Amino acid sequence: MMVFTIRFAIAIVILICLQTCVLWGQEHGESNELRYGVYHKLPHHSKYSKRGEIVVTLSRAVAEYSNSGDVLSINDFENADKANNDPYYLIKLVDEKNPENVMESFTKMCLLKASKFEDEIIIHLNRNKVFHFDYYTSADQCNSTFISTSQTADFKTIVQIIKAGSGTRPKLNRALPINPDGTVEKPPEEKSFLQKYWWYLLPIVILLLTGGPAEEPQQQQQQQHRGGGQAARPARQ
Amino acid sequence: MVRLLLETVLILILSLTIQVQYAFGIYADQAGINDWYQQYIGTPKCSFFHRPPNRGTTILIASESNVIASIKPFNGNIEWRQVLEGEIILAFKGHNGTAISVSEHDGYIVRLWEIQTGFMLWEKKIKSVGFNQINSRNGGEVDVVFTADGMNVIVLVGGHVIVNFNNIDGRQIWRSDLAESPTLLHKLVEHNQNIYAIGLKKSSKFYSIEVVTHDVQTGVLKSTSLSSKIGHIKDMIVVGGGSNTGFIVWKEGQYVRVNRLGSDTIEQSSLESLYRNVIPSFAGVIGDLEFVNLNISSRTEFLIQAPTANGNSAAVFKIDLESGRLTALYDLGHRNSTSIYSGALDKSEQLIISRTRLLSKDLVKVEIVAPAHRLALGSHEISYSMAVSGSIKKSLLDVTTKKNNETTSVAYRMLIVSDDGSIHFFKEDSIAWNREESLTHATEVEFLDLPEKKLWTQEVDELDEQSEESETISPFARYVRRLMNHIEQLKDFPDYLITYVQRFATGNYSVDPSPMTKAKTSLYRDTFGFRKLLIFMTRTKLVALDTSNKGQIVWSRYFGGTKSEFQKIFVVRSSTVKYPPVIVAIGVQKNLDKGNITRLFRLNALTGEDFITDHEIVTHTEDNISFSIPTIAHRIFKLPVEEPDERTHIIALLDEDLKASSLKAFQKFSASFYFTLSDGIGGKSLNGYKVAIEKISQPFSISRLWKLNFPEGNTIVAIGHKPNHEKVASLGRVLGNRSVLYKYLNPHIVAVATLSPSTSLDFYLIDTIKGSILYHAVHDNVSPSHPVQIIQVENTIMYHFWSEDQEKQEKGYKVVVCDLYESEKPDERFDNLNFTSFANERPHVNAQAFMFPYGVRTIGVTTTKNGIPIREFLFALDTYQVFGLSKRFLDPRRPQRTLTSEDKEEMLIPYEPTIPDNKKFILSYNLPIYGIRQIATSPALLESTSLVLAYGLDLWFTREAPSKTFDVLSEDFSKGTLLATILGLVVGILITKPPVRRKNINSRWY
Repeated sequence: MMVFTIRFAIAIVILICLQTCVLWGQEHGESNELRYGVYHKLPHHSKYSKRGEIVVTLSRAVAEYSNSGDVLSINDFENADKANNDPYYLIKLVDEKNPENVMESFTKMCLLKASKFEDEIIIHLNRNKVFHFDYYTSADQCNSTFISTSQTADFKTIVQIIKAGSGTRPKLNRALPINPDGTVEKPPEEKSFLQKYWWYLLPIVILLLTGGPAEEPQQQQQQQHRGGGQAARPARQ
Repeated sequence: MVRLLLETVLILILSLTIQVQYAFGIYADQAGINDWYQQYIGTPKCSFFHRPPNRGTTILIASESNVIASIKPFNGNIEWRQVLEGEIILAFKGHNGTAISVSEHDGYIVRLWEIQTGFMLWEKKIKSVGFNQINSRNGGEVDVVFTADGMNVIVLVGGHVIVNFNNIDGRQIWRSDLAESPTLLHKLVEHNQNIYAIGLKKSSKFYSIEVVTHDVQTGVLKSTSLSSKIGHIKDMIVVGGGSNTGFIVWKEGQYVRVNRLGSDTIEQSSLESLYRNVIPSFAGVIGDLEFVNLNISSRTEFLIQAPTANGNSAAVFKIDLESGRLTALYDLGHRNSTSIYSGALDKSEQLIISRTRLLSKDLVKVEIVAPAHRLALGSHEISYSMAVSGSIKKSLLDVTTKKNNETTSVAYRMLIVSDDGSIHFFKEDSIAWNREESLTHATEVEFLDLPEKKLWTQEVDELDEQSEESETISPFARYVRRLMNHIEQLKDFPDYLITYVQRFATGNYSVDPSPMTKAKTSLYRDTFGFRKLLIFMTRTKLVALDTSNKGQIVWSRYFGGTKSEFQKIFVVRSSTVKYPPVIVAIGVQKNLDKGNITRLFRLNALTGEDFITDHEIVTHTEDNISFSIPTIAHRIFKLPVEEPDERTHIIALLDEDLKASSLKAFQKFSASFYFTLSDGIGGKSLNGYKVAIEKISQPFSISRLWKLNFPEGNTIVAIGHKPNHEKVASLGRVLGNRSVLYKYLNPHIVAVATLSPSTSLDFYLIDTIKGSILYHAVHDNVSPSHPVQIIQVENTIMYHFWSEDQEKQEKGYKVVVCDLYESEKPDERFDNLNFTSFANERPHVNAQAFMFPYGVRTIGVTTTKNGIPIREFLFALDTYQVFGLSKRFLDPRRPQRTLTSEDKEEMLIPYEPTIPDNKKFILSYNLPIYGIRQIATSPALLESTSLVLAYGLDLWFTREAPSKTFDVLSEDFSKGTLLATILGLVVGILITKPPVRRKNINSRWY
């Protein structure tokens, strides 16, 4: 009985800790948002113009793109080819808090048209700081003919986040003992966390079932709020 | 009957076989057969002839490459050498059987060496507390002096600290730290148990001389100041010391003043009287007088030289020991060109002075005089090529005089250091030996393939016919010409046959079967393509070495006269039958008046002569050998396109204002010409550019397409480099179950490593066209004190670094190998058949890490003609060795479990966290190859073999076969057995033929 009381007390403490962590995470999650202006320049333009915005949420490692700024007409893109024989589409990301932090990339104009303005921005994170981005179009060959359905260049942009992986390390494991017949001696199976400490979690489950804190619906709403044409994808790396 | 015959033949064959095996079953030690090794010491900084008691004279040299060496004057061979790596040698001086060196590395290190053996006797460190280290680099503030009894050695370092050591055991007797004093000490003189340190003290515009005196035994200090005004350190000279009194001589206004050390008296003589009365050749002097210190132990003679309108004049002076006055000893007279002087004492302690100067571009004149007797002892003219070595920088004299019946004859020998950094040894009227020490300054090397031998085209050269001649010549005449040529060649056939059989029997392929004596001297490719030219580029010189001739110099040329420094060298046209190979060396001349100039020198790579095409008129520049562009090349590219007329590659230069210049036929290529610029090691960003092709005229303008700023605080510590010749034999890697992993072969990928202040190493794979980061990994706890090395080949990238990770027991050197594949799964490829950097296709990176047993200076990789053998990585180790490690060991697919049958099929080795420190992997066996800066490789004609060159201070060249020599018969293959078997079979057939025929006929009859 005594043992059970102690375990119950421990379970309560863990529960309180978890709750605090969730609340802290929500508070800081909002402040972990980074905003970048997306600017682009066509070959016959002399200046960069704004085309959209990217919001990077560091805590969840997701980023969203939204079109804003001037919308360019299809004619602009058509004219670019004729006016210039060096047709490159230049794009840059500018940190809104720190405008000196500029990242630049490019693609060929014809690729942008061949991909019907479907492009992808891959953001590279290093210790929660954005330092570079890769820019790709969905098409990689210029040969397809471009038939526009609308009069404006509607960018359908996918944003991806890539975090640096940790470098490979030598595996300095202990050598496994081998039986006389040549087979590897199996070490005793280790029990998983749940197998060992299921009784700590039991009261939490009971508490949840008997009507615990109800923050779940709120989170779901937040997730539904996202979407539209600009989907966010988790990192592939 | 038949059976009996057959048995006899069989026994005969067997006995022959046994005989042959005995005769050829000898294995030679391979060391030094496939490889050659050359030791160098570097350009001399301090050098002197030294005669230890009861031994022959040696030349002791401390070099710019920080090597201390003893050279035999007889042949120029190294008796011993000691490489002081990472240190800067500041002073080197000999005394009896020992020599002392002072070098700088985190303080000063004083070492005593035994001259006979080169062993170190003692070493002491002077900690760098309280003195200005920057000053010491300017030279002059470090000096060493031995006391007359040889018991003590006194060292001045940093211009402020004087330390007295016991010469026997290196015990410090006293130390005097004058860091507080504003005087910067330059020179030490010992006389009569006193140590005089002469220094200069800055006071407003001028310097004044300060003399600090110490007692040798006690170190008691006394400082005196001389009333003097000196404009520059060069206006002062200190002579004497040791058994004689020391004197300070300096120039002040129109007077030369002399002070006897230990007294305050100053004697002075007027320059004007010098010009007018004493030295007649000084009458025409137009510039300032310059003191030349002959550095001859305790003697008080010295030289003054002065420029005149058309050359220079010089005279020998002496300080009279009794009166302390300046006396003129001998007027060396006026000569039309700049002279280099040196002095030496003969056996009777008579001073002999040499004056060396260039008479013309191919001739040097050495004049030997004895100033005390006002005698000209000899004059020698020596042929010396300025086009090969440049002008003379330093000379070092050694003399012996012989007296025969009242006539004095002098035998001299002289060490010459030339402008290119090489050493020459003059003896009487000729050069006794040379040491091409300029190779220690080599910054780049190119392998040059030699032309194939096609005698009939070379000799008759039908290809070289002019078109008019081809039209007029009749087919019959042409046939006769060819026939005559073949008959001419027939006379060499017997010789050819003999050499061919010899070669076949012995297996010695170094013997060339070609009979032409001419061919032996000219440069042709050998059977297996092992013979190539190594063209080294130093700052001012090009040197070509023959790989098959133990690295003999084929040609060398000095370009220092054009005042440009070489940046890059390219082979722009390889050897073909008709055309000679062409190299272009690109140098930059920084000229403040006219602006900067980039020069391009085109040379025939086989001879080193200027290459001038038939089709164009070369712009005649002042030196007539180069093209010049009035700008500095920021970066130089060799483009993979050829110019159609001359079949030479095109070179693009990017100048400082970021405008691209290129030779010809560039427009077509420019559409796909992207390039990347960075500040190299220490840089913080990468930038991608494209040449704009709006206008046709040069120079082309460029525009920036992308910019990659590494995270804040990170600096580039290493950039991956690829071997020059890279051919990929297979697109994929075949696994044990016959499926294929397709290699990711992006030619534009570059590996970059950056280090952050928080000691984390970031490793990036970057596409240089698009600026995309294809892979990014972070290693924590990486020390910046060790260099990071990266090498790329095919789809493999390997890097080596020092890890400080003590917690996880991973402190030590690590290598990480990354193999890039198109997909993680076998038999999967990218959708696109044509690779483009514009497609969002990322490689699957398969990486594995290993602990590495050594520190590494640089990494190379073997290259073969078609890339079929497995790659071998060549590590230049900290231990001055070359370590060859097969890709099989550095394979990310090494399984971390017991091998399955599929693994065995793939020939995988089980994973082990450490790379074995196997002595068999050391390719350079017991040779110490010092200072390796780069390992260059080149393919041979044999697919199995790669040519490897390691250079830096030493040169080492070898042939390496990473998958063994599968295309050559092994040495133990018994050719005799094969011959005997064939012979036996022929004999057998001959013997058995008649009985068999008889039997056949009989069988038809009956």
